[in-house]
Amino acid sequence: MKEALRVLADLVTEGVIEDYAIGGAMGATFYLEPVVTMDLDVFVLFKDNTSLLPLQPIYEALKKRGYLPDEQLPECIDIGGTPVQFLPVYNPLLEEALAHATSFDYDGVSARVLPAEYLAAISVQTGRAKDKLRVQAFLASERFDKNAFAAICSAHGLVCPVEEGLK
Amino acid sequence: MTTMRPLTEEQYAKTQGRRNLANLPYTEKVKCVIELQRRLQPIYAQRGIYIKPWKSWN
Repeated sequence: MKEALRVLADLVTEGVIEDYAIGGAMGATFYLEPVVTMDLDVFVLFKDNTSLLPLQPIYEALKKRGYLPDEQLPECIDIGGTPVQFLPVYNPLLEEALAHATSFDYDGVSARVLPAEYLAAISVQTGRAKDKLRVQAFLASERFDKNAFAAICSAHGLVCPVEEGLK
Repeated sequence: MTTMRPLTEEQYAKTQGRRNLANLPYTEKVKCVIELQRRLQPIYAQRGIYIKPWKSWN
């Protein structure tokens, strides 16, 4: 995990990506109790977002370092034993979420994670069964800002699960 | 309107346990995720699904 975070920071320094933040289950785990997942979802922002193959520069840069696709999760790149799935920022909600990402220290390595309220809003947007469970877990969390979450949902045309309760 | 029953000791312990897990440092949470992966590996293998736990938290 630490090696993956170090490589992500290097990709930013080298200009391969403009910014990144951890999302998905590992992003949620930053704020909530740990849940099992097999990959590290990383949302990435590029300086040039017009490419038809936006992830290609990442794959090429990682290949040069000897990091190849994971055997069991081919959509991921195995970085030091952690499968990392790179996801391009593909809509305004993700762009805004990444702009609000926070930095943290992971055993001496700087890393970035999406804010809890944005992770919950992304889960509402994605809408799978596991995403609905994640939203419930966020809503039950003590440090979760329900008003901020409702505002994000409203701004992006999402049906907020707590909106009725906040009125 | 009916009043809510107070949490039982067992329910409270479970809630508190979840709170404690949520408050762990991220490195500790990653260790928990890897441990969960390790425990799931044989269960998934019996179902023909092969997963590879992460090598290390650091």
